Parts: sequence; C-alpha cells; structure tokens
Amino acid sequence: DSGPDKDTTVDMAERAADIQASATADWNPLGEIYVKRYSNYELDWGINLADYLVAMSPFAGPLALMPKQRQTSMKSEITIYTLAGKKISTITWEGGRVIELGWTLSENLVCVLEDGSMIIYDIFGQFLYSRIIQREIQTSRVQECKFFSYTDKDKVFGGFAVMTCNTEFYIIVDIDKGKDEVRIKKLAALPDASSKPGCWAPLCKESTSVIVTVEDRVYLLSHLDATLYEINCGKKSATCWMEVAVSLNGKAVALIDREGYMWAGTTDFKSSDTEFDLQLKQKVARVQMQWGEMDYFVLVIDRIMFVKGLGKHWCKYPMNGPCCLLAEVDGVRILTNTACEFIHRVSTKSLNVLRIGVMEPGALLNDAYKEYEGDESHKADEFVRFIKDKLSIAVSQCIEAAGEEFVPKVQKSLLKSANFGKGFLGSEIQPDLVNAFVETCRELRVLNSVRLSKIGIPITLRQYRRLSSGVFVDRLIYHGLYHLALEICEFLKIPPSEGTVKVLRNWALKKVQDKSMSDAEVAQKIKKKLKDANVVVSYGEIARAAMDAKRLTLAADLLRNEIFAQDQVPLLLEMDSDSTALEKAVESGDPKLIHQVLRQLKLKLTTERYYQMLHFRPVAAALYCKVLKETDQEQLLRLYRQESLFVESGCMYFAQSFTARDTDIRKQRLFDAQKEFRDAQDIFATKAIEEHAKLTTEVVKLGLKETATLSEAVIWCVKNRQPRQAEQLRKDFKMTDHQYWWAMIRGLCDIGDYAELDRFSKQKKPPIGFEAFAEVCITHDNYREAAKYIPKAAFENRYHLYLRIQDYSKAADAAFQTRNIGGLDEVAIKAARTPEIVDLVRQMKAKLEGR
Amino acid sequence: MAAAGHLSGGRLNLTLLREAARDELKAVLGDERQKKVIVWDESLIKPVGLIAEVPFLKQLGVYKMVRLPVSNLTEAYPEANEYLFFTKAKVSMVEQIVQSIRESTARKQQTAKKFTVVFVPYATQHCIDKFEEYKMTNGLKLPTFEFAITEYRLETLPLDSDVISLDLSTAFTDLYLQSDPTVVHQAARAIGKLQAVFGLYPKIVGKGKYAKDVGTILSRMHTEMMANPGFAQSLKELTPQIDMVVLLDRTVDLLTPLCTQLTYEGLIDELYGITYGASKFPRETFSEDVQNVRKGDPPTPGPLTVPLTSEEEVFGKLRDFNFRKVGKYLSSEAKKIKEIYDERKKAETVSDLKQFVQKLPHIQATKLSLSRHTTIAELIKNTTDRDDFLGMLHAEQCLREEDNSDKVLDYTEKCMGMGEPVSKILRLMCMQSVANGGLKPRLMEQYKREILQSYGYQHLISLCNLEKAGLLRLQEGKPTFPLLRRQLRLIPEQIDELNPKDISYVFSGYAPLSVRLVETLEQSGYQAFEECFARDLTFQITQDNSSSPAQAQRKKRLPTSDRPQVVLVFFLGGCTYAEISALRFLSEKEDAVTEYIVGTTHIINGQAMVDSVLSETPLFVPTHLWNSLGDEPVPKVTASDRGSL
Repeated sequence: DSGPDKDTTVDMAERAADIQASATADWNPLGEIYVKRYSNYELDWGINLADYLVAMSPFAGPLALMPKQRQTSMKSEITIYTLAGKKISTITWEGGRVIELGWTLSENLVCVLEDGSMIIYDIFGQFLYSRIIQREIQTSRVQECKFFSYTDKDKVFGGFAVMTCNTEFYIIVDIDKGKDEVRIKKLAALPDASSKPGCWAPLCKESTSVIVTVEDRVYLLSHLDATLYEINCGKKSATCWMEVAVSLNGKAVALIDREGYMWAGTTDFKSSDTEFDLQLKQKVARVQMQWGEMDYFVLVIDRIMFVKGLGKHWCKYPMNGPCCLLAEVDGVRILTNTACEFIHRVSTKSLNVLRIGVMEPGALLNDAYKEYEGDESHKADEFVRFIKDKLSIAVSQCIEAAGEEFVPKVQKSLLKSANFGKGFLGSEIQPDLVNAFVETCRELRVLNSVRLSKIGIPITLRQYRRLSSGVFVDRLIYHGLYHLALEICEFLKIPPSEGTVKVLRNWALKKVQDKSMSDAEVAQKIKKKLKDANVVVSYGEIARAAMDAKRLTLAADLLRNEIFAQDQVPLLLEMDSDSTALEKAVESGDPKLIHQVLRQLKLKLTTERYYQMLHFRPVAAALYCKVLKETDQEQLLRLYRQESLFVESGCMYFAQSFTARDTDIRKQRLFDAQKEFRDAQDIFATKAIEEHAKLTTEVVKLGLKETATLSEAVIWCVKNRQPRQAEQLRKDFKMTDHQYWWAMIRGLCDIGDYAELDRFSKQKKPPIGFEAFAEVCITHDNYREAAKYIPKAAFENRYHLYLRIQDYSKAADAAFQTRNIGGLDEVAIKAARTPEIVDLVRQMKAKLEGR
Repeated sequence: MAAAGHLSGGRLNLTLLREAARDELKAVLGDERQKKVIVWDESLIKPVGLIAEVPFLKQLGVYKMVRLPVSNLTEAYPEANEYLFFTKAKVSMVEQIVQSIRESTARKQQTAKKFTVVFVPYATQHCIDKFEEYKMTNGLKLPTFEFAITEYRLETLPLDSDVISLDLSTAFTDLYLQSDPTVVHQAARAIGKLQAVFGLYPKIVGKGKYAKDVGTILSRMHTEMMANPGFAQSLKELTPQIDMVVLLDRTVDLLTPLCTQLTYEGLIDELYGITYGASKFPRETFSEDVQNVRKGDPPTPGPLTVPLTSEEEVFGKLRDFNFRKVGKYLSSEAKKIKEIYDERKKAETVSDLKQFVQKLPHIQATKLSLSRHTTIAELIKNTTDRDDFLGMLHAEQCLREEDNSDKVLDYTEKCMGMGEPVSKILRLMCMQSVANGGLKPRLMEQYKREILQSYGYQHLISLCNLEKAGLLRLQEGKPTFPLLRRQLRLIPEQIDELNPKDISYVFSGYAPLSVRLVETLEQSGYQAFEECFARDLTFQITQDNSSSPAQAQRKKRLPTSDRPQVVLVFFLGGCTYAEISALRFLSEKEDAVTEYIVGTTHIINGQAMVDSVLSETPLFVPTHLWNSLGDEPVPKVTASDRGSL
C-alpha cells in the first residue's frame, strides 16, 4: 500500500483523479448531507421477490427466501443465500404455514408458524430445535410477526414479536440460547381490542415493548400496561397510520399514513423532527419504511424510493421492481430482483477529503498527492506547506476516508495520499497514526476479501468494527469459511487462542461429522492440519465429537494425540478403555486424576477385576491404599492379602492388637498378625509375636502393666528382690547376655544394692565389661562405687571414666599409661582449676613426647 | 514488607514468590469489605504466617482468627459475613469443620452466612466427598446458608533468601514408606510453577527414582505449558534466572541426614528443633535485654522464641559455621563492639560524637544479637560436651570411616542397656546399615532381638517400616558407600573447622555425599555425575527455548565468578541444614561460578526422619531432640560465664 507505482506519472494523475471522481459521482445531496446508493452485487438469480417471504440479517448476514404460501399444507422450500445470491442451503418444507422468517443474532434462521410454533435451523439448513411459543398462541393463531434487533453503544440484542389473531402481543427473545432458554413475554392488552390495528412495530429500549396504531391513535404496549400517546401533528384531518418504523437504537420513530403524511420524532412522541406530506394522489396499499441513521429514513412506495432527511429535505430514486429493506447500523440494505445495494449517508470522514471544494487538511493532502503524481511537485509542495501544522490530521482524515469506501481502487488511492503525508511527518509521527494506518490497511484487505461475490458478505468497516474481529471470525467459522477465517486470523494477528485455535477446533469438530471420508482419512487430515498450524487444539474435545457421531475408532485415534491427561482420561473412561485410562492417569502423575479413575473403576468393575487392575500399577495401588488407610482399614487388609503383602497386613493387625479396645479383639488381632507373618515366611516376626503374647501374660502375672518390656520386667524383678523370676524370664525369652547384664546392673543400682552389685560383678567375667558397672554407678551419682570398677575396665577406657568421677590424677595416670596425649589434654582442660594436675599433665606429656 | 526483608538478599529475589502467594491469598479471601472470620487448622498458622502477617490479613477484611476445633462460631462472631476454614486436606479436619458448620446452621439465622473451606494447598477428592456426605456441595446456596470449597495453592514457602520449602512434613514417609506419588506431583508442580516467576529452566538434571519421576512430569508440564500459546509467549519473554535444576532423591544419600549435624544452625535443629525459621529456648537463660523485659519485671512464662533467619546479620554469618568456630567468632565480634564503645570515650569533637551516635542503633542491635547467640551457643555447648553426645559422634565417625565396623556394636548395645531413647538406637542402626550396604544377617537378628526385648515388641512394626523405607536392610552384594568414600573423597585427610577449605567441615570431617555430587556435577560435568552411581536413575533434560533471544544470549556466555550461574538444588524427601550450609559454602567460595538455591520438600534431621518412620508404631512417643525443653534442668548461664567458649 505504499510507494508510487511504476506507471508513467501522467497516467497516474489521470487515474487518481478519475478514480476519486467516480467515488463522488453517485452522491446525492439531502439538505446538509449527502446520501450514496451503492450496488454491492448484481444478482442473476431469476427470483421475483414479490413471490417470496424474504428475511435478511443485519451485519451483511445471509438471507432466506420462501415462496409465499397460498395454502396451509403445501410442500415448499426455504432457500438460504448469501447477499451475492449464492445458494448456501435448502430446507424442504412440509410443515404448516409460515408467517415470517427471520434471523437471530447468531445467524440462525427462525420460522414462525401460524400455529404458534417456531422452528430454528442453522444456515446449512440443519434443524436445531422447534417449540410451541406459548400454549395460548396455539389457539389464537399467529397473525403477524416482526423481527427486531437493537443496537446501541455496546449492546446488541434481538428477537421477534408476534401479534395473534385476537390482537395479543408477545415478545420472544434469547432464541440462540436453546429450546428451553427462550424467554417469552406477553404484553398488556390493546385497549381498542375490537378494532383492527393499522400498523405495529417492536420497540427496544430498557425493555421491549410494541408500538401499535389504531387509526389515528398510537399505543405503547409494555409488559405491564398500555399507554396512549397524543401525537401533536400538523395534519388536522383524521389520520390513519399505515406504517411505523423504529430506529435500531430505539430512540426514533417514524409514522406514515395512507395519504403520504409522515411524522418522525422521538419514541416518547414528545418532539418531532419532521412532519412532511408526500401528498400522494392515491392511497397506497403498502409502504416499506426503515431508519438509516438517526437523521434520515428510507421509504419505498410503489416503484419509488424516497430518502427522507430531517426538515423538509428529501430525495428519490427509481425502483425497477419489488424490493426489501433492512436497517443496518450505518445505512439501509436494499435487496431487489437484480441487485444487492446499500444506501447510506456519506460520512463526514468521506466529506472531509472527497467533497469538491472542501478545504479540510485531508482534502488538501489528497490534492497534494494528486499533484505529486501528476509531476507537479512544486504544487504538491505548496499544498503540503499550506497544511504543514495539520499534517497529522490530514493523514488521519485520508485514512478514515479510505475506510468508508467499497471500491479497492479508491481505498488504495486515499491510502496512498495518507502515506504520502506520513512521509512528511518523518520521525515525529505519532505511533497512534501509524497504527491506524496499518490497522486500516489490514482491515480493508480483510473486508475486500469477504466482499468478493464468491463469499458475499458486503460488510462495511463501521459494521465490522461494531461486530469486533472476534465475532467476525466466529461468523466466518459458522459459515464454514474455515480457510478464510484462518487467513484472516493470521493476517489480523489475532491471538491464537481467539483465532487460529478456535477456527481449527471448529473445523475439526465439523470434520469428524464428514461421513464421506473414512475414519483413518479424517484422523489423518485433522492431525496433519493441527500439526502444520503449530497450535494445540484439544484433541479430547474433537474425540468427544467423534464419539458423539458414533465414530469410535476415529475417537480413539484422535484421543491418543491429546497431551493434557485431564482432557484425555475422562473420555477414555467413557469409551470403556479402562486400562488405558488408568495407565494415562498414572503417566500424568496427577494424583487427582488417578483418584478420579479409581473412583469410576470401583463403581464400574467387580472388586476382583478392580484389584486386578491395581495389581500391575503400584502407583495407583499406593494411592488407593493411602485412602483406605484413612477410611477403610478392613478393605485395606483385604487388598494387602490379595497382593500378597503379608508383612503389611501383619504389621497392621499387630498394630491393631495394641490399639483395639476390646481384649478379645486384641487377642484375635494378635493371632491374625501371626498368621500373616507366617504367610510372609518371616520366621523372626512370627516368633516375636509369640514371645510378645507370652511376655504380656508374664508381666501381667507379675503385676506390671501390659506394655512392660522384657528389660523393664527384669529390672522390676531385680528391684523387687525376685532374682529367680529375673533368671526365669531370661531363660524363657532367650534374653541376650548383654541386655540381661545391663538390666541387672541398672536394677541393682536403682535400689542402691551395691553389695549385691559387687557380688554380681564377681559371678563371672561380665560380657559387657566392667565399664558398664562404672557407667551405671556414675549415672546414679555414686562415684565411690564407680571407682571400684574402673581399675577392672579395659586400659584405654579408664582415663575417661576417671575423668567422669572427677578423679583427675588417676585419669592423668591412666591416660599416661596408654600414651594417650589427647586424653591428657582433655584431663588438663577439665582440671584447669587444679594447678597440681595441670602441672602433672604437662610433665607427663613432656615425657611422652620426649620419647 | 519489612517482615520479608531477608528474602530479597539473594541472587534470586524470593520476595517475588512471597508476593505471588500474597496475591493469591488476596484472591482467595475476595472482597475486603466483607467481614471475615478465619478458622485455622493449627498446622497452617505458621506457614501461612510467613506469607501474610496479621495486619495484611486485617486489610483483607479478616477481623478475627480462631483455631480448630471451634464451637459456637456464628454465635461468637455474629457480625461476620463470611467464615473461612483454612485446612490441610485431612479427613479428620473435615469432620471438625463439618461439625462446626452444622452446629452453626442448626440455629435460626437472621442473615445469610457464608462458609468457605479453603484447602491448603490442595483439596483431595475424598475430602470433598466427605463434605458431600453431609450434603455440603461446593457452590451450595440456600437462603440463609452458602457453602463453597476452594484451594489456596500455597505450594512453595520461601524460608530464606536462598531456601524454599514445600513444607510437606510427611514427605519422607509418603515417598519411601507409602510410595505415594502425591508428593512427586506436588514437587513437580511447585518446581514447574516457579518458572512462571523465574523463567524456563534451560536444563534439569537429577538422580534417583523419584527425581526421575519429577523430571518426567516436568517435561510433560513443559509440553502442556507450550501448548498454551499465551503462556508460552510470556514464558519466552522471561529471561531465565535459574540456569539449572538439580533434582536429588533422598535415597541417593540416606547417610548424610542420619549424621549429627555440626554446623551452628544444624545443631540448633538437632538439639532444639527449628520450625519455620524460629526456635524455642529456655527463656531464663537469656539476658533481660534479649528477653525484652525490663529489670525487675516478673518473668514471662514459657520458652523464648528466637527468629533464625539471615535478616539478623550475626546469625546470617554464624549459621553455616562449624560449631567449633562459633565461640571464637562471637568473642572476636564482642571485642570489636567493645572497641567501638571505647572509641566513644576518646571522641573529642562534636562530629566524632555525631558519627558515633549515627552508628549506635546498628551497634546496639549487633550487641543484642551477640548476646542472644552467646547464650544459645552456651546451651549447645552444654550438650555437645556431654559424654553421651561425644560417644555418639565417635560412633558416627567410625561408621563413616571404617568398613563393616563392629566397634559400634558395643556402643549401640550400651545405649540400649542404659535405656536411651529407641530412636537414637535406631538412627545408629540405620546409619550402620546404610554405610555398609546393609547389615549381616546375624547382626541384624541380634539387633532386632535386643530392640524388641529392651523397647517392646511393638517395635517389630518400626523395624518392618525402616526396612521398607530402605533405612535398614540385609547386606547383599558389594556396598557402594566405601567405594564412593574414596572416589568422591568424602573423608578428608585434614580437617580445619575454623578455616574450611572443603564442605566436609559441616560434619567435622565428612563431606555430605549429596552436596559432593552437586559439586562433582559443577566441576566435572554431567558425565561424571552420571557415572558416580545409580546410572540408570540419572537423567538430563534440556528445555528448548531457543526462539527466545534472552535465552540465546544467555547460552553464549559461560558463568564466571562475577556473573555466576544460578542452580536450584532440589531435595525430594528432605534436606538438612548442614547440606544447605555446604551448598552455601560452595556458592561463597572465592572462585565460585555457581550460586546455589536450595529447594526441598521439607527440612529434616536424622531423628526427625527416623521418628517419622516410627509414626505408625503403637505406643511410640517421639522424644527426638536432645534438648527438648524441660528435658533436664539447663544450668543457668551467668554473665560472668560468657566469653569463656
């Protein structure tokens, strides 16, 4: 979009001027403003609209045609087209009489039947749902139905209203949400119920109501009440309103009577902007009327189209045949037998640059560029110098003007002017301006591509921006224009999560429905496409769609590619791939997921099968065990046994034998534990439990508490002067020599029977050495007794024991004899306050070191 | 943010983690205009307290906090709109909560009351099921009763400027006793989540079964993260701040945690226990200014809680010293302070005086610190001088240094004979087993018999569980430890605890195997790390992020001591303070090119580790600390005794 082309400059100048001249040629003045009628597509479809029910949808959406039914039960067809007249789908109709067709905001087709039912299809003619609107309507029948959409600021809202044969009005909204979410509101009754309404239209403001006229009277029917409005109009003779139109934002209303007298004003009917009399010569049967923006509306009467501005201004266009009108946010769409057109007010953005004689900076910049191209660079320079201070505005105006245009050549020409101006701004250019330029270029490229007649979406930039790129991409997806959507996402740099991923996801979801290809082919195609796009789309979701379409092999194939275990595992469970589900859950390492699978499997499988499943999966088994440990110990024991984990079950029973309250249960548990250890072939443990049982009996007999240990029992015996008992315990329980001696010594020291201790020490050579005697005496603070045993202890241990009983000179001596210098140092530190010892140690060390 | 000043000192700004956790808490608590009551699962008060102090909670609309179990909740605090229960996912806790809510709702309510259960860090399905048994489903809305279940994903607690913990106090037994994969997943998630703050890890290296599992999940998560284009993009834009993650399974080195730690912080943990960066000491042993009471005031009851973080300058220095160096350091610092005070006397001009006054607050704080740590050091010394303590150290040393040492048998039997705590005996037994690659069958049986006879037959369960956890086993094949001892120079020829040249100073002559492995990786590369042992359980993952320019740039330059690389060493199954100190020693070496950050499932020591395995043993009451308070009267340290260390 930048830089001059390489053609000769003279040609260029002519072309630029020509191109732009063509852009303003069809401007038609309407008071202060201009209107422009532009034909988007020539239609060559051989349709006479007069014979059809026609439904167009806003934002350049699809249109539906159905032959007008003369009889109730005639076979018929509904055909859905793009605005370029390309057939999208056909619905064979065998139902009742259709009163009206219309579109929801999500571009679903609604058929409202005389019998009070509504049927919803998507644009491909797929049946979505049907329902009775309301029981009462079934009996009263639908007489008329009008669709409405409301667009204001950031709110978009739509639905339809029906009038029954007994002149009751209903508002129906939230159709896209599904059969049971549809909301229906009955409005207050019309006070003049007996007389026939002249015309009516839904009105959306804070709530949706209906404007109804009866002869010259105007009523507003809301949910609660009916209000009669006095219209203060200039025409004194009785008026019989025959058509009413409400603007998309619900703020303006226009009325017209049979003689062509018009009144337009606010929807509270308090102030009027326009009163005008067309002074028609004869009464007309039908008038079509739609608001453009707030300052003009379009009427079609017979073969003439009037565009009515505010005040007295109007202009007219000839119409060659029947037509249909639809209000858009920025104009009115006109469908005729031969063309799809758009009539709109020329926006200020265009006027600023393109109106002849305008002195706005944008226009001057545009002129400058024309001169520059025509090799009149000195003139160009002059122009540019003239608008030097307003160059930014000029550039911005040119960009904005380009956005208004349908013809790519004109867009390009204006963008070139903008680019030309940009060059003069150099590095001082505001980033916003650069963004606006780039953004507009991108948007126009996108719009141009969807405006091509093969796509048939003649959306304007203003409509597109109103929709937002996200919603726009959604629409393309909905139309099955995946390829285009994908390109646009990339081109507009829409973040993948809102763009590419969404498109591919929908594409894949659609693809699995495609029965013309084999499972393998579909899987192959999906995998390739997703891989090429280098984005991650949830295979789990696609697999689920395949499963819903009863293509299990395909589902399984796709599911293998899912990288998120939490998306994969639940589906595997549903597909009864239990073992794979558990495997994948374990692989993921996510305990929550493993638990989830285990819960499902537990419900699904027999206990036996369930345990088998756990058998090969230690991780899952461990998790399950942990749960059981807290919740169901009996079950856990069963599992341990099943898995031949006898040591585990043995330990558990054994633990229970300590904690159980009931004595019988304790005994039983002990017995059980022993059996488990036997099964584990753990001879040591089996015997230990036997001994434990025996010991418990013994200690209780002795009057000790149940939990006393063998050592404690022996010590108790010694303390209570029952040496024979102690000896017996030792024999019965094969107590080790070591522990027995320690117990004896401790027992004797505890009761201070040092004479007995002395005798005991002399019985035979103590297996634990005499150190033990000294040691225990020391812990009983009896250094005198301890001193008796130290000389009998091993040489190397003596100094240390002497130290502990604070006999430093002997300690020093002992250390000296074993040539323990470190020991001597230790003595010196401990005896620091006794100079003689320190001295002694020093001499000893000298002796030792001297050698 | 003053409360978290100690987190920002390191190369990696861990306050970011704290900030993220605070934001998440804010989101959990919601609208700050709602008056809220928080009901705590007691075990969460401290960890959440590290993230959010009381004034912060007040700002978020919390006006009252109570702990479980609680009764008459709505009656006691009728003005609150919302009652939040913060709890770990435990069925017993759920039952208490249900009871409390049902009791509240049984009464007629005037206004709608909202009850929210916040599981920290995760809910488990069967806790949710438990609520559903009582018809309490998430999102339930009745006219006078609303109920919701949510999670507060507080996974990583920054304990200090270079230490993060997952605070999974049962991680060791969960992993090695129950083989519960939950811990693995939680660790992987937490480590993975850090990437959102510190960027993608270019490299992940690990050793050990569970380390490998974590590695697998991390690469899986990497694929998943990259699948989210938005997230992938933001990750790519982050400059990686961590160059490598080293995952170590605790079973790679079970010996180290069984050894008694000899660093200052390690000893405090061994003797008094450190929880969430604080420890309790007998109050009366501290001087009055440390106790923060005025002279003559009645003594405050209960032990004194001393915060132990790098925020305190003196402790930041002392914590990693071998205990032998602590006394020297304290007295030299005390001397310096004294000199400064002396200078004041010499100060003649006004500006001299002014200078001094400016320094005064800092000096006073240092003085207080010195006094506090002198007392703690005295307390520790009382224990480390004890014969039983020294005997134990000697036994440990024999086990580490000699093959199949039977010398220890006598010592162990003596301890049993004297009726010392069973966990001490078991710790020694385990150490003997681990060092020698198992115990010979005869020895094993003898030990077992003696344990059962001296401590009761219920310890059959203890022994089974220790075997299951791999801490105790029968010898088979060639033991690996003696081999590694030589290969990795675990026992140095010389040891200088005062001016250490090697990490072995932390155990006065034993270089912790785990840290030596990390050192090997740094100095000799991955291949050497792989070949040490457990080759098949060693792995390396590179997370390709080449499209990121920041990454590419980083790749080019080699780490230097000016611009060191940052390595996160993560211990699965717990690590000790001594190991943290050893890693810090490596970071602080003069020519260090690596700065280590330590991550762990939780902080452990030998006794805590053994005790946790014994938790299923009936009648067992842990007495695991040498000096748990009130164990024995601690001699009062008088002022005149100070400085004699």
